[in-house]
Amino acid sequence: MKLSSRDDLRDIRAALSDVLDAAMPTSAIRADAASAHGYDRTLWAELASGFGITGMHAAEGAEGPLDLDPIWVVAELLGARLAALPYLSTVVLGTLPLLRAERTDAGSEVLGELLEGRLTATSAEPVQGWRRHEGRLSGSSSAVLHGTDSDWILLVDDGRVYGVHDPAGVTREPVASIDLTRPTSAIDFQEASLIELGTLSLEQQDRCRADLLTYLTHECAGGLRRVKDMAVQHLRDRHQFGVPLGSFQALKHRAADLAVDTVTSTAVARAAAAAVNTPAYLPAAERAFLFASDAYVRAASSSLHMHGGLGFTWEFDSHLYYRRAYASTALAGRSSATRCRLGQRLMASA
Amino acid sequence: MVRMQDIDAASVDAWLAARAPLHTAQDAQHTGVALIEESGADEGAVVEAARAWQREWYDAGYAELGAADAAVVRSVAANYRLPDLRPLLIGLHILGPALREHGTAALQRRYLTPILRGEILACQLFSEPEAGSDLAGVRAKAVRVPGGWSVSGQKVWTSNAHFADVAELLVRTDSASSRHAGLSMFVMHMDAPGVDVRPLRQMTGGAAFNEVFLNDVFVPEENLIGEEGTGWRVAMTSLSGERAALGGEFEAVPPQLVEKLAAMALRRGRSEDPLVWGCLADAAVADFAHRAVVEHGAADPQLAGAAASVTKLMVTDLLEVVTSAVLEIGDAEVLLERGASIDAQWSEFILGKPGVAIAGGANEIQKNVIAERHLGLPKG
Ligand SMILES: Cc1cc2nc3c(=O)[nH]c(=O)nc-3n(C[C@H](O)[C@H](O)[C@H](O)COP(=O)(O)OP(=O)(O)OC[C@H]3O[C@@H](n4cnc5c(N)ncnc54)[C@H](O)[C@@H]3O)c2cc1C
Repeated sequence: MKLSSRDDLRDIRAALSDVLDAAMPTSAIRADAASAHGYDRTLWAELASGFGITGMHAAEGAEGPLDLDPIWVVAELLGARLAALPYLSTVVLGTLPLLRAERTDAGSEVLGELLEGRLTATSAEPVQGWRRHEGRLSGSSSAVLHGTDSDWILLVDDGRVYGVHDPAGVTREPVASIDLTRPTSAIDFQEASLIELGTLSLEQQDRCRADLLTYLTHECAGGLRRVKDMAVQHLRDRHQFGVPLGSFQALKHRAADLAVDTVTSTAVARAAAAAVNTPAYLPAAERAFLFASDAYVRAASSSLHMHGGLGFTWEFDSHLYYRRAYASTALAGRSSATRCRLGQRLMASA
Repeated sequence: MVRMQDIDAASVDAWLAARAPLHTAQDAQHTGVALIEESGADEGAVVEAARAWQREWYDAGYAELGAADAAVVRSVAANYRLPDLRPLLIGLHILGPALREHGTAALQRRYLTPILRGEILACQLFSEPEAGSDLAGVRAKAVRVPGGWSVSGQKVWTSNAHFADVAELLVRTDSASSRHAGLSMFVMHMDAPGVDVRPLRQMTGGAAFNEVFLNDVFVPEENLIGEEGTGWRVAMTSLSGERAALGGEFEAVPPQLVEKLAAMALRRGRSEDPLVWGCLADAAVADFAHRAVVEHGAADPQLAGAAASVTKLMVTDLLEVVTSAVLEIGDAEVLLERGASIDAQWSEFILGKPGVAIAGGANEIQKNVIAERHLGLPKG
């Protein structure tokens, strides 16, 4: 079965949930996280070339507006399960900038491979003294998602999209981060060869940023719903003082707060998704992400807390979500910088 | 995702453009920020303007729409400066839903259509001194008399009772009953003999709510909403309409709060201050989140039923975030008595805020509802 954007979103959701639920109990996710690549390569191959999840958003040959709704469905599902798959890196950091770019022939070729699910990609941002000179790059990046095994590393510099593919001059080093379920690497480039893949206008760069923020918002909403469900289940099952924990109003109100954050995070994600093909996309995506990433941290902490000592153990899953929630706040640059820029623009338009 | 819609935004826009000014950047300086209506000297004019607006609105076909169409109309209307429509809220969103769901055809003809058309304004006689959050403790009672009922008792915190034409009245019709059983709901005329409305001064200094004393007030049989003894069910319909309205289906917060904050920062020479930027961003995020739940909350895959309570809680969150921004940007000026300066209007906002967290079911009650009814946690 191959999925495409013409499939009903509910069907996509149902088909993928089944596969993921079968393949990804959290025990499996933990094992994957500890493995060499940090994720289950067989499952990824099945999802990418079997289901086609890397290409659902690109109807063949269509030049019209992008339909990103399938991506958001996947984001919620993967976020809920803390799946360590290279979907965010390949699809959101790889295919979307290329889809939005004026591509070179090489760019179109790479895009085709990524959409088909044959190759993976990620993107790197400059950290220390990058030098780009005559088609070669030197410098280093400290936190590259799936940096160890992505086939392509994309960089956007001065409106141009470059790709690094040739392993010569690229040193990749896994970095352990607080988030156990998102493999990250440090990459050192020494005269690595750059291939020009296309150009991105400033407006398109804004849209790429909005894509990332909207994706993360949906992941947060999915994870938040899961920590809410875990807490509610526990409040029903666990008894103290002869009654279920959920009889105590202090905890009922915490659970209600989780429901409020779940409903609202899902709603802001929908609102950002509804703005995709409008000028309000980036402003909506920034607001949505700032809300949902904050709410996820709040909710993951509160859900963990309601599990008591159990929540503080390595074996129990609460901490995986807690780790993911904090790590998500930093994936799109510092939240405080996003917040500051948003406020500055609001001020400028007064 | 495509929703079925009959109304197109362009025709709504054209209709509104012929009757109301667009919001402009300057509006942010001219429209007020009060959260709770004031019964000031101009109250009569405000009420009449709301009635007149609603009559045209109804005649144009906008007063009775499905959810999807209503959302289209709402988002277009948000661009226009409309009259203050709060005098209509109780009729449209509290009594209206009860009549629509439980009223006889005759009752709907007599009251619902005029309410939708702004000809009849309503108030809500639910709360009593001994029955607030615990509404099932209502004591006011109705006894049978020829042709109807005679009502006696005391109601309190009744918004708009001083100008409303009718009331949605919750009373005990079975004196032997207690709690939820034995309650019935009526439409009562506020000018009936025996209705005594006394204004209550609230903490803002104004008097938008009242005590209402009922002494042997006659209510005709046909004004019973639903059946005798089903008052609690009818009340639940009204309360969920109220929650949804206070949560934002109705403009629950003053328009353009973020723009108003930015305008204040500009006036005060703070536009280059990163502290101000941060506050504006926080307000914009809270405002966006509130609007998003109003628009998408009811589509939640698991918690659609909780959406009204969620939106109401999100309103109070928004008000807190805006208040922090107001204090940062406006400094002590916003704590001056309203009228002292343009920025002093925010004192009205700050003073109105506690009422929003109490009215329509206090926040704790909303959280109990979410936890017990929607998350399935134990009752009590
Ligand atoms: C501005 C305004 C307008 C109003 N307009 C109307 C109107 O038009 N018509 C009308 O009928 N009423 C109206 N009300 C009344 C309003 O519905 C009640 O005030 C409200 O339901 C709370 O009831 P109470 O005042 O008796 O407080 P109480 O019920 O005594 O509550 C006091 C405090 O205890 C908390 N509390 C109570 N029970 C619980 C519980 N089980 N768990 C946890 N905490 C609890 C409450 O949250 C609150 O903080 C209005 C109120 C305000 C402020």
